[in-house]
Amino acid sequence: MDRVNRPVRLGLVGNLENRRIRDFCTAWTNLGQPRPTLIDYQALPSAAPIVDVLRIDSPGENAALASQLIALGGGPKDAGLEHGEVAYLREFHRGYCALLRRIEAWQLPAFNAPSDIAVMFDKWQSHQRFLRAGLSRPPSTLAPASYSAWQKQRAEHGRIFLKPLHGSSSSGVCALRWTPTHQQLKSPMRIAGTRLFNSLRVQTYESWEQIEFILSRLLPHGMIAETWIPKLSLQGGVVDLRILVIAGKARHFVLRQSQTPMTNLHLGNCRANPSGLEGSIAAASRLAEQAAACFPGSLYAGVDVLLDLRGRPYIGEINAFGDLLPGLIDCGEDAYKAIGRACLGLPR
Amino acid sequence: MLNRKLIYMDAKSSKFWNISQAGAAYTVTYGRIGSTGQETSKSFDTEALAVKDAEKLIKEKLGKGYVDAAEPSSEGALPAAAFANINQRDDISRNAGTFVGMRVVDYAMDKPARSDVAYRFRSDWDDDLLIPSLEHFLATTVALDATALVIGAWFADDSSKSSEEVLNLLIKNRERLPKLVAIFIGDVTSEENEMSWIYQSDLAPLLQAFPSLQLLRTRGGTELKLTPTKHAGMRALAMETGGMDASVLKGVCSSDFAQLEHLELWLGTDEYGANVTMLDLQPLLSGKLFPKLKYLGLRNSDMVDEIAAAVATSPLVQRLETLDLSLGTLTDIGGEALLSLKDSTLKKLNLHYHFMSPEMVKRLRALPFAVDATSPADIDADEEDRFVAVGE
Repeated sequence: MDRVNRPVRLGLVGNLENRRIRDFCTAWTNLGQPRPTLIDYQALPSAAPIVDVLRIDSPGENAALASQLIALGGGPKDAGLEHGEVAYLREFHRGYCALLRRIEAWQLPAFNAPSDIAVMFDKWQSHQRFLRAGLSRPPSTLAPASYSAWQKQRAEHGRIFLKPLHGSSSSGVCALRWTPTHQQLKSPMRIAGTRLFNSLRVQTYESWEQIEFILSRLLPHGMIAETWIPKLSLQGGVVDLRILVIAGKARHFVLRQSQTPMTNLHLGNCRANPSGLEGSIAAASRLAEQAAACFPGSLYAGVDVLLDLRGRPYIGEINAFGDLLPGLIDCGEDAYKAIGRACLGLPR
Repeated sequence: MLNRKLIYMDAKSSKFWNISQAGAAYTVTYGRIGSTGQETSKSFDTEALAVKDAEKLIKEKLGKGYVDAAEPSSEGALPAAAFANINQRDDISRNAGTFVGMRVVDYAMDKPARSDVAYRFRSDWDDDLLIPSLEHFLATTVALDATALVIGAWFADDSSKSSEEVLNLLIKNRERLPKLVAIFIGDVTSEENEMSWIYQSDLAPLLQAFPSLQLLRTRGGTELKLTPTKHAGMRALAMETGGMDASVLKGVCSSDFAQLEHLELWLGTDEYGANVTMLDLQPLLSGKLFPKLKYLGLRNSDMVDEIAAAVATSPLVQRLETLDLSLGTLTDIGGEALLSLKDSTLKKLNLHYHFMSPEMVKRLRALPFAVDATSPADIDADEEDRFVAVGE
């Protein structure tokens, strides 16, 4: 509690033009703290900045940083990706991990430890961490890295989510199901020429030719194949939960609803009314807390929890930067204020 | 003295609303069917004002889809309001919450069975317990009083398994279900399986085995079949598909359902197997079949413009109370044809989810009966971008 009474020098690592940085600065200064020191991902100092603690924010939504990371991760010098293009996911991740190691070398305390962030950015490693903790997860395998290998090993029928190991948000995520007579892939991926782009609409592909086109481009990035458990539906579509766990406690949550298998809010989905689901939400909150506890170096994490038809919860994924939930209030605090207060050791 | 008892039923709720006016006051009782509900009263200066306000409320309720509750009739006849299930486009994306006015509950073998709900039997993603749980239920004494059953997904992860095994189990145990009047086979959302991937089977043996059945609803078009059959008690038949094979329609038209009041066929699109033509619909539209028919639904169809034109001039429409052309790709062309229904005996025209212009909707709403033209889709869509409500 002694930290409350003195100013805490915060270093904010991120893409400085991003609203996440701006909004967190506001939340932090509103707590009576000095303005944070801003640290641009694209100009990381080699020596540790003079701060007491770091908050490491998302590297996303910045094309210049993406190019740098891809090059740093062993990709081409100037990948020249177009907006929304899905490519070099592995290289991006490798480059980002290199940046995280530089930050780690500063040996500063951080809201979320760089090593935790690196694991959260790897769906297969996170999955195994959850399994070791005995937590409920959809059965999953590491997908083969080529379409022909996947095709050889696939069963006669199936329903899976294929997710890039190192993707963020819904980028590259595919819901795939097939029988001997039907096949269908739903994904926000849009085909343009020979390339794939993220879009804001979930598209449906129903021929093996299209499915091959998409998967042959995505599988080499490394993907996890998760059993597609049918999700609970309410009036208006299926639902799942994004639960923000702060300092061990499930706090802000959103019940996300969709007419498609993808519930991400940026895909035009909406927030649904959770009344009637209290029991499932309580169980989901406990599971989210257990999931976050698998990352002891992290003050907070956004955990996606899905509910099956009987309302039983499963961890979907964990997001190091899953705290961008503007306007969502828990106990009178929005997410950033709650995180700031938790960092300062203030009681809820 | 004014007394009116109304009910509303669909896939998500079943409600009653009763009003009773006496002198310068009325009392409204409303709530979930099966509950005692809540009561509110209102007083006025004069009896005329009370009547006027009560009539206004009744009109509002009727506009929302409430219907008069039939007087409790002999041998447990289902109210006609129980026949509808999917009213709004949104209703398709969730599992049934109610069925023929009863709350739908997943059957659990480890809990005592109750008689005031409609049990749903289904397999989950990680188990295949539909058959064992249905067998378990059939052995209980509650089954002997069950009036309604809901069958959900009968496949765990192999969605190419047909409904035949479930139907055979029901048929074999027909003596355990002496009071069954309503059954829904295929309470499956698109998250679980696309409508056009659901494998059904021949429904005739089921109808033969349950002569007391009044309502049969199915979802899924693949291998759906109805061998022409005779059933003296069937009052409602609903087949939801993403694409209906003409043989199914022929099976319906060649069947003898003397009591049929509600016939609901989701025709779908050719992309998902629909091959019904206008010629195939002729026997139905001739008006010579199903003498008691009051509701005709030709829904989720991409040829609904042509259907509208044919139905509007058909002999059949002259004895219908409800015409339902909802969930399809109806445009102003079909809307124009429906304007000629102004002198018909229709009480309701359902065009929910359509591609008509606001002007056409306005003209249709001026017809002398209730017209539901809610949920317009994108009217500017080119022909190839107009989709039925349930394609994929």
